[in-house]
Amino acid sequence: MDQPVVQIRDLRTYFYTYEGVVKAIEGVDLDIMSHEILGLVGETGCGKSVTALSIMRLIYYPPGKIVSGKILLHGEDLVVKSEREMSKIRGEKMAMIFQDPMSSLNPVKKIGEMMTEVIRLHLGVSRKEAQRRAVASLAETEMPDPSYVLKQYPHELSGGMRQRVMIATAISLKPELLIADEPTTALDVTIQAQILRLLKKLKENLKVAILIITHNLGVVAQLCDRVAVMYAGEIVEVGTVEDIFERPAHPYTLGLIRAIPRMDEKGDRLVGIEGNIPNLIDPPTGCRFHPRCGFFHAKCRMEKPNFRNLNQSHWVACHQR
Amino acid sequence: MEKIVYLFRRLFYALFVLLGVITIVFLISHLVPGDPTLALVGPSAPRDIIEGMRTKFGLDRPLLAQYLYYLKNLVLEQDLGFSIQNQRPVAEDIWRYFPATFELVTVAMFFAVLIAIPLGVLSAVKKDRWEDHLSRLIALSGISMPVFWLGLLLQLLFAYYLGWTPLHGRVLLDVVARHPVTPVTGFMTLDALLKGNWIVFFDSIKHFILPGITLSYPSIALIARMTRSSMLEVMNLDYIRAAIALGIPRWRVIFKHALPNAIIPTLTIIGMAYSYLLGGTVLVETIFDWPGLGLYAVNGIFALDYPAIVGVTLIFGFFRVIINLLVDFCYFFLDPRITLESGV
Amino acid sequence: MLKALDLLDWRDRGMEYAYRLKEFRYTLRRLRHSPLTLAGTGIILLFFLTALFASWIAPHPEDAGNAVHMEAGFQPPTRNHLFGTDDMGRDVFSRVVLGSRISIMVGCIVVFISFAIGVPLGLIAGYAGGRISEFIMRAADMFMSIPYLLMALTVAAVLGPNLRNAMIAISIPWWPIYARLARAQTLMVKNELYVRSARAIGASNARILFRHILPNCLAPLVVQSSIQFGQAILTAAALGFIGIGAPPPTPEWGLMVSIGRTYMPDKWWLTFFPGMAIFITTLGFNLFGDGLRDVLDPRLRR
Repeated sequence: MDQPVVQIRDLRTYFYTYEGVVKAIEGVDLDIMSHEILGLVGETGCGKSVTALSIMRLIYYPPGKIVSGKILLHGEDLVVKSEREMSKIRGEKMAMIFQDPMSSLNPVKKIGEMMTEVIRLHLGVSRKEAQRRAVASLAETEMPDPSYVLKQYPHELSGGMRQRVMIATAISLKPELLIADEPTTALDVTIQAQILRLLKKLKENLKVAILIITHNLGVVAQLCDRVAVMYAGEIVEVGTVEDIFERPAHPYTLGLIRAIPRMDEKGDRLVGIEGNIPNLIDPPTGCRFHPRCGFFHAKCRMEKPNFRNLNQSHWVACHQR
Repeated sequence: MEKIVYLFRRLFYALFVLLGVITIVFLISHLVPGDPTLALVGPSAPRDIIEGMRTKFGLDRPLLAQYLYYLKNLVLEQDLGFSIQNQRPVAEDIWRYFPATFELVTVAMFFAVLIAIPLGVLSAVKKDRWEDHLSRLIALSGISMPVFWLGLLLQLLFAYYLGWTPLHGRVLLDVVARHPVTPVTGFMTLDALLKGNWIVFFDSIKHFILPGITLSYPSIALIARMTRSSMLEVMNLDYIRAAIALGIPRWRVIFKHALPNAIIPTLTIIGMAYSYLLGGTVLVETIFDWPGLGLYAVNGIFALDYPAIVGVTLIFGFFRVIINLLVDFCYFFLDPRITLESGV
Repeated sequence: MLKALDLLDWRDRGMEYAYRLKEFRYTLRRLRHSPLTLAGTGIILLFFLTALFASWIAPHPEDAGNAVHMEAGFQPPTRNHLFGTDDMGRDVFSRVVLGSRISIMVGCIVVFISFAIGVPLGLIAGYAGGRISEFIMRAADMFMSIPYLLMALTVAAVLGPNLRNAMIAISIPWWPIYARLARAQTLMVKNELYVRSARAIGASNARILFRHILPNCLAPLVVQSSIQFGQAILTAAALGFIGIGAPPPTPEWGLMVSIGRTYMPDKWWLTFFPGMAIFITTLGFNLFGDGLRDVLDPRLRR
């Protein structure tokens, strides 16, 4: 049976700003299994990036702070670890790639410099050995002519190549978890497909767990094994890809799936979800989705729903469904 | 190949600016009320020299002709006029006093960069904590403090009351008399070092301390502030976060990933700081009796030695243009993104 | 047709003012949170008030002029003479206080002149672009290549040493600072919607420049002016120290330091207090300008 790589229990991350305290994540529970691709979906601002950053402990005060909760990496709580200990864990056990590959690469460093520095820092090997591993990593990401790429600067590469470099650097230390924050959003559609295929291949070959953050359900459908749906700082539904797409349970998920324009149906209007995302400084009481929910009942306003098991893999947090 | 073209373009631009500087200086020197020869020779010079200047610089001709004469004399013969302070051509005087100023300015620049950059980095990393506020206060006081006042206070405290450093001068004359320095480069300290003349060398170093610190103080402020804001900007960028996400320890990210990027805009400020340094020599050399171009210019003011003042201004402008050019070249080598298109 | 323009203009202006008022209040709130800025503001206020009420604050206002009390000469700081007395027996405290008037005048005039020359040039350069912009910017480069103290020194020396010439001399090298800022701001604002719509209704260039672009450039210009005010005082003091500036017995701070220098190190108070006045005043302007800049910088917000 699959073991969880990372287990998040009741995570709360707040941001302390001039305007007030933004409760970006309010009680998130999530398990990421080894050897799976888990998709974390939601609208912009729902807290999915913050969740990823929290796992990596990249939330710094000011203004952000992990207020309570546990993030267990093979049983060890990351929340209480020191920055020094986290430096060892980042890259080696977990790695993260970000949305815009151009801005994520240091413009004054050659690719080779960057990659070998990371490898040597963690593994302590010689420069030659580090270069060898870097080239191997790049080859793994289907990069043409990897040894030449090492000598280039980021601005000399195309968008797709830069993203491959990011991925290669991230996997060069063979981490157990790879977090990808909107890895394809900044890329052309054709390159998007390539990168997604690559991620899938990597999961197979390297046996790495991937947490992919996205707002694009198409990406989810193509790539993911399981899906977690987030809304306003909370997870509202978790299940396999089939569960979510064929039997969406939570009203929000329902709205999302319905909103996808379909090629095979004829229709005149695009269907959206009524209302706006809530203000996280002063969020709605009870279930945070209740102001926009078609299944609203008085109870929804008063009590926060717990997770209910719909079937073996499918969980939903809703009073009504 | 592209690089060479870029370099040439910057060179041409520098020459163009240089011409502009010469023009401005020329126009200023013509503001002298009364006889225009005064700008070149000073009122109490010997008669024949005045007349000689009049013809040589075409002072009875229209302004444009004068300008051309001025240029011709400047470029071809390096003739900047005649200084009545020392009864010598200005160009000779400048040649003579230049090493002292150059040494002082270089030392001050070293101090400034050595202190300011770490200060700026500290400020950025500990933003809004007491280290930041203190550094900012120090930096701010640097551009608020009258350089001449600072020099006097330092003199009072360290030279007079504590006796730790010499009061003024560049080197003790009797020391040099007893251990003469053979001129190799013309820069006394360097020559002393090269020839193993340790006594003069160390004496010279001692004399550098107070004027060097005084001169560099405003520049420390300028460079530290720029480093701070540059670092703050860089540290917010994505690739810094990406580097931390790969497990590179924070201090290493600051110094090896952020700082190299943050230094780049600071280079321009370092060029500007040179302006402050050059201007400041006028004040610092006066206070510390440092026999350089600044003191020469100030003495020129009281002696109504206009060509001396104008000459020094010209030379300083000249140096500033060169420094700017060097900064441009440095940019070019440091930032791989600069290409032909982004130049000028 | 003029009426339609006016109507739109008033409505736009109404919205602009409402927006600016909100911004202004936000700025005030932010300013209050920064201790350094508050200190700077305090110093500036103190400075202006001192200058305003100088004749009343100074215990011996006649000492700012030609009064001579040789018998009281060279007294160190005491209760009667807070800053001591100078070589002519004059009360240094009174002289410093009255000297603030000179400093204010210098600051105002210098900033005014360089602003008045530099800002229009910068606006034109930014708006017109092309050759004109190139020309102005090249000229600015040339002026900035000469260390400003040197240039001020040369101009003042050449024109003749007095306060008026010193002020002119200081203003001349500084117009490029304002020009560059104004141009940069104009470039940013030039393509905004309200400028383009003003052009679409046929507003004249001058109108656009002054009604629409200039108000939006003001923020950094105000910051810079604050800093330049301090620098002007500093530079004027430097010129006074060298001897090109106000002639004795004017209680100009730089001049006082210079005279005091000849009596160092015993009569330290002659140099210490005027110099301190220069320092604190300039510091105040820098603190204020800095704080203002931090608050107004849109990137540093939130």
